Amino acid sequence: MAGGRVYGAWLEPEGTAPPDPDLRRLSAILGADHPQATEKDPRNILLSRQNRFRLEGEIIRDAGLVASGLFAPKVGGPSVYPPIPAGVMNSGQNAREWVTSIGEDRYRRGMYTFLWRATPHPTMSLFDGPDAVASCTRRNRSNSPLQALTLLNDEAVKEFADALAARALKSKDPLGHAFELAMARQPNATERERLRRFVASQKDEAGGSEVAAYTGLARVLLNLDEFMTRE
Amino acid sequence: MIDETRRHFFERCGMGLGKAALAGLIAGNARAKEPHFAPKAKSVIYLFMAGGPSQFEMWTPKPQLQKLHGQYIPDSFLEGKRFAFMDTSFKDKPKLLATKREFKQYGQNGTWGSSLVPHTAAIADELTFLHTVSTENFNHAPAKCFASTGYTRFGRPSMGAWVTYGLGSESQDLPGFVVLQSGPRGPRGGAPLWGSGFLPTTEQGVLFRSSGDPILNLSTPKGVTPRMQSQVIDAIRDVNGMRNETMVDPEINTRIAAYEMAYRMQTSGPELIDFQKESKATLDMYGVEIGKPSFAANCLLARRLVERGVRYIHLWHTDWDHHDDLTKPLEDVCRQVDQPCAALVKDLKAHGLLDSTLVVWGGEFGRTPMGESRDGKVGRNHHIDAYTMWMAGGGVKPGVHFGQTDDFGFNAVEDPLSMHDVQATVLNQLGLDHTKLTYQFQGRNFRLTDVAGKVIHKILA
Repeated sequence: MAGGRVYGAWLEPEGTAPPDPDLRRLSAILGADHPQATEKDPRNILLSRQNRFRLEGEIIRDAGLVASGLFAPKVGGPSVYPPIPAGVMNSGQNAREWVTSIGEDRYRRGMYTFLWRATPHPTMSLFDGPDAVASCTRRNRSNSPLQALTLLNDEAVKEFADALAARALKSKDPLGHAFELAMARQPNATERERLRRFVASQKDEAGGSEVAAYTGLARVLLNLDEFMTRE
Repeated sequence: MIDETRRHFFERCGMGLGKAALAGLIAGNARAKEPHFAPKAKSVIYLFMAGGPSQFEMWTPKPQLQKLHGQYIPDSFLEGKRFAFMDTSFKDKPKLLATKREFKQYGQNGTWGSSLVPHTAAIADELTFLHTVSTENFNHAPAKCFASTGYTRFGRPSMGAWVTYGLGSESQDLPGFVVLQSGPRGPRGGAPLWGSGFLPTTEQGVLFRSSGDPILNLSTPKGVTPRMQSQVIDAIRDVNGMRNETMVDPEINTRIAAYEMAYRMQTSGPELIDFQKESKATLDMYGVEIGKPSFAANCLLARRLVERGVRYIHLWHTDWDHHDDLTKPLEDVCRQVDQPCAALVKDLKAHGLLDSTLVVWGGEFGRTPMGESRDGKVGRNHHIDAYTMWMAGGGVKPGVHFGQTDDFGFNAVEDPLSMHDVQATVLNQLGLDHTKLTYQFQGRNFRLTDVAGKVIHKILA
């Protein structure tokens, strides 16, 4: 899992106290597969374990915020206006103003983002967010090329990548550190070797810029299946 | 160790979430499905004149209106009726309003067309007119919702979503359901009009933008070269593949495919909107100026989308609400749409695509035979009991006028139609039975046409 650590519904930002040891244990139990459970409950009707699934749209944003170190942990208050692509707010029945929040409000959890029903946040609707016009009894978990375009190219995600790269470059092992910030684990040898080659090729292409190369790495990490999947 | 047991789990349990999701969730992407019966049309282009175009100024001259101009409409027409803007419309008893437009007859079938629609009227023999369409609500957003989703309240899937849900798409690198906008703003009601409701969100219409990238986030971020982007895509594919060796989750394969398609879209998107290869004759026929967003440009784009296998294309033109002025504002919007609509039909035909593409033209309602006076200026109010739409191609019979209205054009007197009938007919032409295209939600099966709708068999070729 990505971005700090998630224990059940509990998101622990880096630098805060570790949660209750019981919660940790519960998480470990839920996160692991047990052969016995698999045999006795192959379709998981008894809820004997967790399945692997893609995070909700808001939580993907949260994970990006935490991995990049931009996360503002402020709780509550009025809704906020993180960056959205230009022109998006002109397509509804009225052109709506969207004054991008500054300071910590730019980096709040996805659930605090202001929602216009006639012009929903484009990222949230692509990641199966409710449309706020009818009750949502269950969210879909789609997996689409438009989601890929968003995570690859959206301004908000690029901002996370820039910050994650800057953070990683403070370490002696920026590759390993960036990976761990995003996935909460170290890369294995094959992953490390593939990403090392990738960083070298980005650096070549970017005229030797370390920052550009590690921003490229951060973009890859923020787009990996593992990053947006609860395992 | 954990990886080992996971592998075991996914190997043993083919019913895992991933596999089911793979089968069901990558809709709109080259996942053509079987229709209920042999289709006539493969694609739909819906030209939506949002606001309510005036049938009396364009398609329906009524001698009695000309003769009785300024007289009160008989009470019998108004009994039990409600209208929008009762305050302005009914301050005085409403009076019949003659049109000031010149009409003449076109085509072999003698179609009446006004001086506002010369181009469309000139191809009347290609068109199928429906003169008695009615709807259920006299306000813009609910009526648009009804026209788009078959229901006046939000939350149901739009017609385009139902169609891609039913048929998938043939396009390899574009969404199956594309929405194009022109006019001063988006339509009243906004995104739910092309939403997926309770269907999977991948069926929702993708709103193309009329300037810059057609699809949001189609361009790589500043400072990232195409080569760097392709290295990023390759690295994502490889590292995802490594994870899949331990996880064995079909969702990972789907994601790898999604990233490859996203990368293809980055190439095909700019090509799609590049009109440089269109001939000058074609551009002139539509009235397209390269680089200038317009309804005409969207019509040309619609033909290009159909060529690329896109299933359902919805064009909004959002400036048809003429309550108090049937002069310049109406002339302006007619000038914006008349020529490109006709050009689209002709161009589809020239490309051999008209037989397999159903074109639908209309608003969420029409306008009243009575005038509405606001500050001394006169226009027409919303009218839901009978109004005019047209269709072309896609296996409907060309050169037909269907439905008769009374002398004032207020009510249908022969062959009344509802928007549900129009929707049932659109689905029918695509090979879908509107009573069988259902989705279970909250304990019952839902469909586009709710519990109504009849295919208009008499207009089918």
